[in-house]
Amino acid sequence: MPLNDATTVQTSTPSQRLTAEFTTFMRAYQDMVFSTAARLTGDAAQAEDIAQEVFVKAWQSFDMLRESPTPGGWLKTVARNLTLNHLSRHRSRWRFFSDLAREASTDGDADLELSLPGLTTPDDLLAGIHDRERRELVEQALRKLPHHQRVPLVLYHFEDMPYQEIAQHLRISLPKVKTDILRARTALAKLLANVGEAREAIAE
Amino acid sequence: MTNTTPFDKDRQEARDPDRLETHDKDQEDAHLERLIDGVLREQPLLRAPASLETRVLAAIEREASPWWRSGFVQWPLGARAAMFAVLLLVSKLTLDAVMWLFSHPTPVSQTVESTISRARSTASVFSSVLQVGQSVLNVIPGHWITLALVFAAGMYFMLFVLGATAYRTLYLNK
Repeated sequence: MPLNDATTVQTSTPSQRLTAEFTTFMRAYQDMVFSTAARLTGDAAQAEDIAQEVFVKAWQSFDMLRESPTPGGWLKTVARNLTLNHLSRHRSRWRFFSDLAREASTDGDADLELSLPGLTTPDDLLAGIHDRERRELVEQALRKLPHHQRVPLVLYHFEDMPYQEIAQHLRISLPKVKTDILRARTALAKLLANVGEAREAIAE
Repeated sequence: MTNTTPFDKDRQEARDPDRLETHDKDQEDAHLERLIDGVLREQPLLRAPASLETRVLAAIEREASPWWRSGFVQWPLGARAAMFAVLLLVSKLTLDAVMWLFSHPTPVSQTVESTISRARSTASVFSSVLQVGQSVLNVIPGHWITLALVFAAGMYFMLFVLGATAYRTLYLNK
């Protein structure tokens, strides 16, 4: 089932027809592939590169994909694996410059404490903010998370990956995965609650 | 074996504050998980950039085109090695041909030689002009040259200011 409201491309020769069919296919799934890569990397430019790579692979396997009942699943898996490969390839580079400092500042136990009185539904976190703005704020808050927290969080909540599988993919221990995800949730809730409070104060 | 009632269990937990605290923490973590899951699940897909489609189609076209139409770095290793060998051979043949031309006087070699001698005479004219210029510079006092450079820089700056003023006056305020 295609995800986007894809427009069909009209053409004549067999080669053109195949390209047109692939273009329609790509239009149907490009948002899903891009979202997977963008949320994991936290970077739109890198996500576009990865999405391009995913669709080039899809073109190479298009004969199989056009017959497949679940091409979306195939694309999502390839997008996720390519993104994780990309991240592990570049890990040593960016980790040294960015994440060490952030890890040091966010790994304290004090950060795990979050008071959630009165916060019972997602609406409570961003009270009084319109849907569109709220979505953008959540995406921004996700991008603000350090890489070692964002990646397992996205894999767990968006990709429905169990803790054990995340640990295997990221080659880290199970307790670390659980702690990182817990810290990511806490940090995300804090970020969103702060935005909500600030907006409410402005509104008053 | 003693029978325990829920009441006994509560009393036991009340006596064990660590266990009670862990229980509360677990509940709070589960609550946080549900809350964040709710927020994230509401997120729609991000819109892919408009350039993605063009980039993918261009990449596919590049892949479909034969290897010799791609950049030298993308060529197969064997082809690159063969190309390198051919280039070496062509260079060697060219050098041999030039050497042969100069060792055997032919109309071609004579033409080449006369061209080279003309180029040499042109170069000697340029070098004489340079020598004259250098001797003139040696005669002029150093502070005059400094002043001339400062004047030139000042004039350039003035031109820049005039240009900016003209742009602001004539274009921006139009």
